[in-house]
Amino acid sequence: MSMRTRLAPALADTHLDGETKVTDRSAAPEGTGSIKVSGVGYGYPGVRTGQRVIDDLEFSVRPGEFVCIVGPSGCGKTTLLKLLSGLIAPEAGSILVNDEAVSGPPENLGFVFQDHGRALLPWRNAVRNVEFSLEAARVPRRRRKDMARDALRRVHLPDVENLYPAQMSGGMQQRLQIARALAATPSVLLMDEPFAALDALTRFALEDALLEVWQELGLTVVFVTHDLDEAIYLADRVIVLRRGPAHVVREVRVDLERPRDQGRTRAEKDFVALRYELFETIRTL
Amino acid sequence: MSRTASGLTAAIRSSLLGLVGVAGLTAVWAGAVAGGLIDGVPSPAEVFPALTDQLQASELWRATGHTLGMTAAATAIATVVAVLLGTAVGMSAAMDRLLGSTINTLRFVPPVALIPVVLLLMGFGPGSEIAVGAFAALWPVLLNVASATSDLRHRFEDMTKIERLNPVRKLVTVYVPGALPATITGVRLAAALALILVVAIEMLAVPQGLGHQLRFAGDALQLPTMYAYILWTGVVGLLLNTVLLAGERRLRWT
Amino acid sequence: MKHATHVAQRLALPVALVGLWQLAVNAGWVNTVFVPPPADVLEAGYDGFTENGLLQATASTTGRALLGLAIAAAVAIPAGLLFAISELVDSLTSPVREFFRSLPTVTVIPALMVVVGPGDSLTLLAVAFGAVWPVLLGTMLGVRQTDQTLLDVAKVHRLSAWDSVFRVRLPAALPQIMTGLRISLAIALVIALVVEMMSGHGGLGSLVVEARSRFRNADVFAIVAVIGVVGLALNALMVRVERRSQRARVV
Repeated sequence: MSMRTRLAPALADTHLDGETKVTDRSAAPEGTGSIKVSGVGYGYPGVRTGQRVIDDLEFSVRPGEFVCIVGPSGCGKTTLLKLLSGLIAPEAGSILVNDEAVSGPPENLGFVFQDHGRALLPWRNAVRNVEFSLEAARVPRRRRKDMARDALRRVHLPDVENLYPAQMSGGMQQRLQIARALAATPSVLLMDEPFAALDALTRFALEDALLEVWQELGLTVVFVTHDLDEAIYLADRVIVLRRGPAHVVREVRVDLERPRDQGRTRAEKDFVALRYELFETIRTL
Repeated sequence: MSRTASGLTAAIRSSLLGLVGVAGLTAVWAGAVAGGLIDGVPSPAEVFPALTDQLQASELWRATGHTLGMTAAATAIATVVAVLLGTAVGMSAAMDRLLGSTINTLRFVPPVALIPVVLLLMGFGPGSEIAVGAFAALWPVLLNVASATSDLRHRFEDMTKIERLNPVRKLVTVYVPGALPATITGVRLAAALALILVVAIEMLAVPQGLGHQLRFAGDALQLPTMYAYILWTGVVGLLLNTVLLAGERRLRWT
Repeated sequence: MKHATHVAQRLALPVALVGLWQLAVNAGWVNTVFVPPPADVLEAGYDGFTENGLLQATASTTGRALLGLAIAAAVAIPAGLLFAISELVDSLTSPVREFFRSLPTVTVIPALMVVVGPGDSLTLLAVAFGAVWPVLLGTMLGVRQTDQTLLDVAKVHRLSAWDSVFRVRLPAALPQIMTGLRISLAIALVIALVVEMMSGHGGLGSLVVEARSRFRNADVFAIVAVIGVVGLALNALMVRVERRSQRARVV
C-alpha cells in the first residue's frame, strides 16, 4: 500500500461509515458496491510489451465510498475507468467489482462519460433517454416511465422530460446522463471527468447535485478529474496516479465535514492545506 | 413578431424577383427567336400552347404516370437493398472489408454504361428501366446509411457496451433510428437520380414514358411538342424534389 | 499476416462474382448468346484495344467529358460568385436555376441536336449544361460560408471589395468548388456517353451501341467494363486534386 496522508491529525477517522448518510432503501442497489484492484497492468495493443500504460496498480474502494482519482494528463485515468467497467480487459492482475471478477461490463454499474455526445441518443427526449437504460436492463415497460421520472427528479431535472438533448445546455445534458446512469439503480458509479467541459458555476451546482444523490442512494463512486479542488470537495479519499506507467503514488483521506458547501468548505483551512499538499505532490511527479 | 414579418417581406420580395427573372428569360427567349438569333428553337408563343394541348391529352399523363412509377419502383428496390447492405457494412468491420472495396468500385461505374448490358439481359421493357434506375439510386442511400451507421458504431461504442446491449437491440435502438435522417436524405437524392436514368433509358431504348414521348416528338420534328415535354419533365423533376424535400423536413427529429 | 487476410477478404467478393459468372456459363444457367463467358469478354477487350479502336474511343470520350467540364467550370465559378455576393441577382435567377437543375439533362440533348447538329459542339454543350450545377452550387455555398473572421481580417487590412473577393472569398471557397467539380465530372462522363449513344458520333457510347446492334455481346461487356474503369480512374484523379486543395488550407 502506498503512503497514507501525514496530514493534520484533526482530520482523523471520524465518520465515513455512513452515519451521516440517509440511505434511501426504496432505491437500494443490489451488490455490495466494493471495488478491489490488485496487480493490474495494461498496455494498448500494438505498443511494445514492457511499455505499459498501467503497471502493478493496487487499490480498493469500500462500499459507499466516494473516491476521486487525480493525476497528470495522459497518466491513464480514463484507461483505468475502462478497466474498472470491463470495457477493456487487463493484461495482468485482477479487478473485482461487487466482489465479482470483471469480464465485460457488469450489471449494477453506471458510467457517466465526459462527452455527453457519446452517451445521449439525440433522437430520444430526456425521459426516453433515461428509459433507454431501463430497457437495456429489461425493466418491465409499465415501471419504466415512473423510474425514469424519479431519476430525473433526483438530479433536479423535473421539467425537461420532453426536451431533446440538443435543446439542453451542457450542464443539463450531464445531469441527464447522471439520471440515466442512476435509473437502473447501480451500486457502483464510474465518472470520467464529467464536469470538465462546464463553466465554474454550473460545475458547482452539478457537484452538489451529485453529492446529494450519492448520500441518498449510498452508492460507491469513482470519479476521475484533473481538477484538484473538485477532487477534494467531492471525495472521501483522493488517489493520486503518476504516469509512465500509471500507479498509485499517494492516497489522501479527506475528512472535511459533510454535507459540504461550495463557499464554506472551499474556504476551510484543511481544504486549503490539502490542496497545497496535493499540488506539491503532483508538481514533483 | 416583427422579425418574422420582415422575413416574410423578404421571402415575398425574393419570389417576386424570381418571377421577374422567369419573365425576363422568357422575353429573351421570345426576342431571340423573333429576331432570328437562334435557329431550330420554337418561340414561347408556340411552346406554351403546345404544352396546354398536351396537358389536356391523356398521353402526357399516361407517360408521366409510367415514368414516375418506374422511378418509384427503382427507388424502392434500391432503398431496400441499400439499407440492408449499408447497415451491414456500417455495423461490422469484417463486412466492410468484404463488401466495401467492391461497392467503391461499382459506384463509380456510370449508370448509363449499364444500359446496353441491361437491355441485352432484360429486353426493352419496364424491367430494364427499373434495373438501371435502381443501380443509380442504390449509391446515395447505401453510402449515407453505411457512413451514418459506422459513425454511430464508433460514437456509441462504449455506451452500448456499458448498457450491455446485444447486437439486435443495438440495431433496433441505436443504428436504425440514428441512421434514419441520413437514410431519408439518401432516398431523396436516389429518387432524383432514378428519374434521370429512367428518362434516359426511355429516350435511348424503352418505348414508353416521358423520355420516349420527348424523343418521339423530336424525331418527328414537332419542336413545340418536344419543348413542351422538356418543360413538363423539368416541372415533374422539380415537383418530385420539392415533395421529397418537404417530406424529409417533416420526418426529421429535432 | 493480418494484412494478408484483410486483402483476401477484400478480394473475396469480386473473385466469387467472376467465379459465379463462369459457373453460370459452364452450367448453362444463362444463354451464352446473351451472357458471354468471362474469358471471351477479356479477349474482346484485348482485341478492342489492339485492333478495334477502343483506345481511341476511350480517349475521345474522356477528352469530351473533361473539356465539357472545363467549360462548365468557366461558367459556373464566376456565376456562383456573383449569385453568392449579390442577393438581387440570386433572387432574380433562383427559380430559373432550380428548374434547370431539376431538369434531367438528357432531355435537352434532342433540343441541342436540332440547334447545333450532331458533333463535338453538341457533346460539349450538353456536357457543360449537365456539369454546371454542382460547381455552381459548390461555389455559392463556399463563398457564402466564408468564415466571418476572415472577412473581418480583410476589413481590418482595408482590402478593396475586389481584393476581398479574389484574395479571401474565392480561396476560402476552394474546397467546396473542388467537391462540386468532382461530382460534376461523374455527370460529365454520363452525359458524354448518352450523347454518343444517341448521335452515334464516335466515342465509347457509340461503340457500345454499335456492338449491341450487331449482337457482339462480348464486345458490349468489354466496353462497359472499360467505361467503368474510366469512371473509376477519373474519380480517383479528382479525389487527389480535391485532397490537395484541402491540404493546402490546413495550416
